[in-house]
Amino acid sequence: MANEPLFFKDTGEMGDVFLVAKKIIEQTRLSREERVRVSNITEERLRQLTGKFIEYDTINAQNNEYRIKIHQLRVKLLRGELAGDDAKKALDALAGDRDELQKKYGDLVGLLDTQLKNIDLELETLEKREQTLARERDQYHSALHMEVQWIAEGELKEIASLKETLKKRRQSLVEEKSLIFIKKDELAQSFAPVDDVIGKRSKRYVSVDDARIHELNFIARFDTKMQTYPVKCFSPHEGMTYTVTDWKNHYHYDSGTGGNVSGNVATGTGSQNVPLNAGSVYAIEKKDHTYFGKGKKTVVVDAFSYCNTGDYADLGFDTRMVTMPALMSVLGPIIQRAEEGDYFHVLGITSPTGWDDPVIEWVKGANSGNSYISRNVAVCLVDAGSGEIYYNPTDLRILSYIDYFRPEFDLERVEKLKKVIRDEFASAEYLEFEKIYEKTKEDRFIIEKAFYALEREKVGRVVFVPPSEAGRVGAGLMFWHN
Amino acid sequence: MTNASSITEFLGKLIPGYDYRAKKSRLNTDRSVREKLARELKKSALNLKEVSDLAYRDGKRDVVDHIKDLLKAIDLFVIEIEAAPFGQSPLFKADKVNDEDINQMIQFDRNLVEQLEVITKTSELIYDHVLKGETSDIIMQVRKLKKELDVMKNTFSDRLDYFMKR
Repeated sequence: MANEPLFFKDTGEMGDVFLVAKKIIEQTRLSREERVRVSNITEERLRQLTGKFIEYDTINAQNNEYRIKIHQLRVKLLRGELAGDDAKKALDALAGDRDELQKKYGDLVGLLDTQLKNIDLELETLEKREQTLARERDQYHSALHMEVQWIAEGELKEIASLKETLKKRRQSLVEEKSLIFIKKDELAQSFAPVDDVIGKRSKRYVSVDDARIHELNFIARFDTKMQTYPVKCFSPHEGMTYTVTDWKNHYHYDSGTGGNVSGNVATGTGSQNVPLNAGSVYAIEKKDHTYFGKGKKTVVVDAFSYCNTGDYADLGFDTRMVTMPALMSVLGPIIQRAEEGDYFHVLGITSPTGWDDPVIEWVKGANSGNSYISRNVAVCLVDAGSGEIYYNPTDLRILSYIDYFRPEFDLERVEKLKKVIRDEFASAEYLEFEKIYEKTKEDRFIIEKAFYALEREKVGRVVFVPPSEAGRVGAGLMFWHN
Repeated sequence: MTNASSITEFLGKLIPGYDYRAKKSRLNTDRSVREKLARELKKSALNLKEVSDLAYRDGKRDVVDHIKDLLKAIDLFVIEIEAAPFGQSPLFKADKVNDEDINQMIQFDRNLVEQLEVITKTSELIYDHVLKGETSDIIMQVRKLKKELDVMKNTFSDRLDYFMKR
């Protein structure tokens, strides 16, 4: 037996252990009951909401029917089976349906809002409970022992997990709400396809074959570029650039023959060459651990074609540019998935009929602060007809990806530029690099390549005039006659 | 927890299959309750045995003696719980038992479980305090625990009386 006590040192009193035990039991019980109450109420409210959302499917079906009517009206108008005035009358008749649908969607938004408010209230209650428990935990810490802390901490963890669940539910409701808003926007502009025909506002005519060719071209060129190794992919979330020498995660997809990925229902039989809204995806995944563990997407590079497949199938051509609601209906789910998975999704979208002015403004950010910049998604739009490419030049993350989406290869760009330089050079004594850059807005390395290619062809010679020697002809890279 | 249904819900969480309403599950419910009580008391006894071992090691014979008394009381109570002749209770033989009786049975169980919770938790707290060297009032705490055990024993006897006299 030891002389010095190891445990019974009598350094202090236990105090009222019973009172503490009762307090712990009571607090834990209260907290558990509160959690169960919040959980049950939320479950019940969500069940009620799901019940009411059965109506959502019915409204969507009505919306689909309505859109088919509009589409048929447009088809008849374009085929000359209907006069402009008759079409206007038909549109007027459909206005009631449109308003009713908009109202129904509005009611659903109201329901979602109530649910969101309820969740916020529950979150507030939980937070209060969390604060009380945390306070008590700290109190016990000074007065009592570890066990009490563990109980309080265990309960705090449970509350945190319930809060997390509630927040996720809230997020899914917010997403649902944004999808309804997109549908409402689509409805608001649903007369536009017919109005455009009546007012003859179409700027472009693209036949079904051309659309399919554009689509195939775009995807094939993108694939070729993405498989010319090494491929550099910038990951803004990690602040690093991946050098890919082999794609482990790559696939193609499409909406199926005469499909309706854009939501445009094809009523006709269509031809073999109907564009499929095809896409090609390359993804970089990172594993949780070096060898084992679940792969998590970090970067996704996605190129796809966007066409009004319904029009191509029924009319054999399309004239409509892609509008904002149409683009949003495609982008919405992609943004949601990227935010959920917290990866960087770069999108290159091509349209054979081009893009509406508001869409271009939105992507390019003509008005400062108006452009689209998201943490998870960067967008680049390609006009397959004109070859123009639209993106936000201030979004540095997308700049390294632009060349993958560009419809032309570098060599083609150089050839195109050589032609421009030759034409200019025919009537000029010399050409200044900067002036060519200003005029063409082409990448500097392409202009440089074109200069040297022309020099090799003995069209002229490339001269560098240092700023110190700049005189009548200016400074920098010049293209001179031999 | 004021109404019978919330008490039943509370007990249902602690004791799986808790239900006195159906005749076939009545006996099983009683057995489950008693098993739970015995199990938890054995847990408390284990904690106290650990404290007793530490006291013995530090030469605190008075503490060891007090804990020994308490452990003996727990052992006897566990035997009483396990061997109680509840099977002969008319409440388990009757096809239908009135609501008042069922509510009274549930109330007894609730009181027992609550007292048991306090005993288990207190024994854990005593053990933890000993590990921290806060032992100057341990004998008083052990006596208090013994008193709490006596209260629980009384409740259990009342429960037995109620079950047998019906």
